[in-house]
Amino acid sequence: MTDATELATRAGDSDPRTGLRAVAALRRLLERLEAVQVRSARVSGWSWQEIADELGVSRQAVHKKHGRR
Amino acid sequence: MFERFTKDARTLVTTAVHDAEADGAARVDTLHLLTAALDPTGTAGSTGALALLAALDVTPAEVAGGVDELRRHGGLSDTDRRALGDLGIDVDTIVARVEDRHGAGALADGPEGSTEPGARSSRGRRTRNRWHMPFGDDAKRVLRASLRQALDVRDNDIGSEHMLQALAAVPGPAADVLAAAGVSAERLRGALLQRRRAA
Repeated sequence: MTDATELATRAGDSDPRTGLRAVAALRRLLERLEAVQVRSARVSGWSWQEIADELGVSRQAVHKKHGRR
Repeated sequence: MFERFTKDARTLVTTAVHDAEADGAARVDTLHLLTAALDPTGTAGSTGALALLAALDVTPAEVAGGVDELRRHGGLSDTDRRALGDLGIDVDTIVARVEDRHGAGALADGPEGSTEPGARSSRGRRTRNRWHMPFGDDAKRVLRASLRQALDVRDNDIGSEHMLQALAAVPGPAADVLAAAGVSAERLRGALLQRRRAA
């Protein structure tokens, strides 16, 4: 059992699939985190401009993406 | 491509769009499609997808439970979490911290996204037609794959069963949920071919 688990772990290290999957998952997680943080900032009374500045994107971009929430 | 969709498949797509809207999601994702595939309403109780699932002895509730669990984790499956853990990123810690600060289920796309009544302007609502709800890249990939799945088993039309198969075939969270319930694209294909032979 532990052998199998170890083997699977080691195989995972060298498997490009694991690395690629991590990147795709991180991207999805990032989107969710961004939505949560933007929402929280808006509830705290932040302007779209202030949020955009912190995120390093344009006010239009952040409003277009999150404005309807 | 949509002209090749059966009524079943069209209902599935419409339901997914409705669900995404109700969730306050930015786009339709593969989990919306999967949830819609498990929904028997509006189709006289049975769809190609549900019949195919039943052929594999898998209940819709089993799969739906997996979807809920995955949503809570920011749309990340066990496979995703393991892959990120491999990089030293502990998703459970992230989920726990975020829920601690922003409430349970904060990472899920959900109605709690409406904590900002002022910003939910009537202008925004009125100008948004449900058909303007964009499809995410993964969801688009699933739609395209469903055509391939139909052609693969020599079906002329794309039914909800082919969409279910596509959901299992395209790598991502929906495929992971299905796999966890023991549903793979290969098993679905086998059941489809068996159905054809029996017909």
